[in-house]
Amino acid sequence: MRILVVEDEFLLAMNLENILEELGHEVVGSASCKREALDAVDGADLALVDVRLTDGATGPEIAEILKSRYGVTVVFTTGNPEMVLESSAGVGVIRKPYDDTMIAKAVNYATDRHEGRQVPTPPMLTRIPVGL
Amino acid sequence: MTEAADVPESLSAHSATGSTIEFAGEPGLATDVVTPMVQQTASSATSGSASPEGGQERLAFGNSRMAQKILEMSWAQTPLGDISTWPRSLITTLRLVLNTTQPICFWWGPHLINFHNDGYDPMLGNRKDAAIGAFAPDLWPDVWDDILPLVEKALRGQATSLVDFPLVMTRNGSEEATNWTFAYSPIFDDDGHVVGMMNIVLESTDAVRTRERLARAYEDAQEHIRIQQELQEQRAALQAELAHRMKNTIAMTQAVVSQSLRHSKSVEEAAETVNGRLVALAQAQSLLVQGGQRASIREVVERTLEPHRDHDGRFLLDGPDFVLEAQQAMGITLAVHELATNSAKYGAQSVADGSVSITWSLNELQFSLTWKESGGPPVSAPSQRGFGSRLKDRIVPSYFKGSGKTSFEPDGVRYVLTGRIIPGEARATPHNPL
Repeated sequence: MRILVVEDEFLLAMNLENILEELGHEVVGSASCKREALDAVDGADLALVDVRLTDGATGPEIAEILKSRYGVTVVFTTGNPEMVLESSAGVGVIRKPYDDTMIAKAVNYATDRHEGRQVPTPPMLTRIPVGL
Repeated sequence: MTEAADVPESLSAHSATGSTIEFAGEPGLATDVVTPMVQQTASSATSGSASPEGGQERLAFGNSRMAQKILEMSWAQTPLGDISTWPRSLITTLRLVLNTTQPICFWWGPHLINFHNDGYDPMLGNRKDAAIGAFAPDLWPDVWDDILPLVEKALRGQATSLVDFPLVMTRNGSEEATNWTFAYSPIFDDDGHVVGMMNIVLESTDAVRTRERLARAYEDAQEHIRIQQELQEQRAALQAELAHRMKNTIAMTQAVVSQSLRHSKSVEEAAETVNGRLVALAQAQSLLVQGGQRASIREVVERTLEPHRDHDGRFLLDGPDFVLEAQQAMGITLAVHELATNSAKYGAQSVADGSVSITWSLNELQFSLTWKESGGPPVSAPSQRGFGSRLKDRIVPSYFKGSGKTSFEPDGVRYVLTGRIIPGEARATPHNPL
C-alpha cells in the first residue's frame, strides 16, 4: 500500500517509515502539520495520523479531509486516544507507544477496510470510532 | 376610647389591694404637658385638680429599681409637675411598663420625657443614670436624626416596627454600630389623645454580628472550596500533561532503541549505541525539566560533550547563548552526541592532540551550527550510512526546518546544521519530544 505518515516527531516518523518499508509498503510522504499533510497526500491509500501536531491538535481535522476529499483510509496514532474516539474520520486508533506488530496489524486492517472488506477489528484497535 | 368616668370602676375592680382609688378626680394633662399633636379637649383641659389622697397606693409601681428611682426623684420643678399631680394615663402606663421584663421605654408629653423599665436600663449604657426624666432628644442626640421620622410617625398615631434597625451609638464612650428590633407605638392620655410614644425594643446587635460572622465564615468556606477546586483542576491538567510527556518519552526512546537495533551489526554494538543515545537524551531532558521545557544552547552543547571532555583543550565552543525550545534542544543533543561518538572512535578525539571547534550563530531566527574537527587522523566517508548519520543529516535538521551536511575533509570532519529557531511559545501545543 501507499501510506502517508502524519507525525510531528521526526524520530517517530522515521521509525514508522522504517517499519512500513520493512513490511513492504511505500511511504508517499511524511508530514508534521496540516499544510504538509495536504501537500504530501497525493497517491496515498492509507494514512497514519497523529493527533497533536506542530500546528495544534489538528489530527482529526486532517483525517476528515484525507477521508472525504482524497478517499484515504486513516488510522490514528496517538498517546491521547480519547481525543479521537468521537471522530468518524478514522477506522481505528493505535495507542502510543506502539510496536512493529501493532503497526502491521493496523495497516492490514486498514487495507481491508480500504478495499471494502468487512473484517473483524484487531484487538489493539478495539476502541474504534463510531461509524464502523 | 373609653370615657373617663368608666375607668375608675374597672381599675378599682382589678386593684390588687382592693382599695378604691378615685381616678375621676385626677387632673387631666396640664397644659404644658399636652402634646401639641392632638387637639386639647375641653374635658381634659378642665378635668379637676390634683388629688392629694392618691397617696402611696396610687403610686404603687412595683418593686423594680426604676420604680424606686421614679418615686425618689423630685418632679415638682419638671414640666410634669409633682408626681401627685400626674394624670391617670401616665400612672397606668408606668405601672404597665415597670412591671414587665420586656425592655420598654416611653416618651411622654411635648418634651418627650423619658421613662424606662429595668429591662431597658442596660441599653442606655453610661447615660442610664440621668435617663429617667430626661428629654428624649437630649438623651439620644447621637441617633436622634435617624429615629425622628419614626418618632413623628408614632406621635401621629401610627405604629412602626423595624427589625435589626442599624444605629451608630455613643453609649459607652465610643461610637458603636448597634442593631435594634423594635416597635414604636403611640400612647394615649386619659381622653384618648396621643400624648407620647412607647418603644418596645430588643437589642439585636449580638444576633446581627453573629449572623454577619456566619455569613462571612460561609463566604470564606465557599472561597476555600473554590480555591481547592481550582488547585485540583490545575493538578489534573498538570498530570495529564505529564502523562502525555511520559508517553512521548517512551515513544521516542522506543524509536531510538528500535532504530539503533536495526542498524547495529552486533548486540554489543547495539547495547553501546543505545546506551550512549539514551544517556545523551536523558541529560538533555534533565536540562529541560530544570528550565521549564527550555534550555540554553551553550548548556545543551556542554552537557552533551561532558562524557567526552577528557582535557580542557578538547572542545572549543563559540556562539551567542540563547534559549532553545524543547524539541530543538533534543535535536542539538542528538546531533552533537552522534558527532562526538564518531569523533571518539575515528576522528579528532581518538588522538591526544585532536580538537573540535563548535561554533554557532543566530541572525534573527536563522540559525547555523558548525562542528569542525582538526588534529585527528585522516578521515573518509563511511561505506554505509547508519542511524547516526540519518539522525544528524536528516532527522535533527527536520526539527529546524533546515538541512544538515557532513563533509569528510582531509583535516577532519565538518558538520553544518542550518535552519530556523522556534522562538518563545511558537508551538500551538506545549509538547515535549522526550
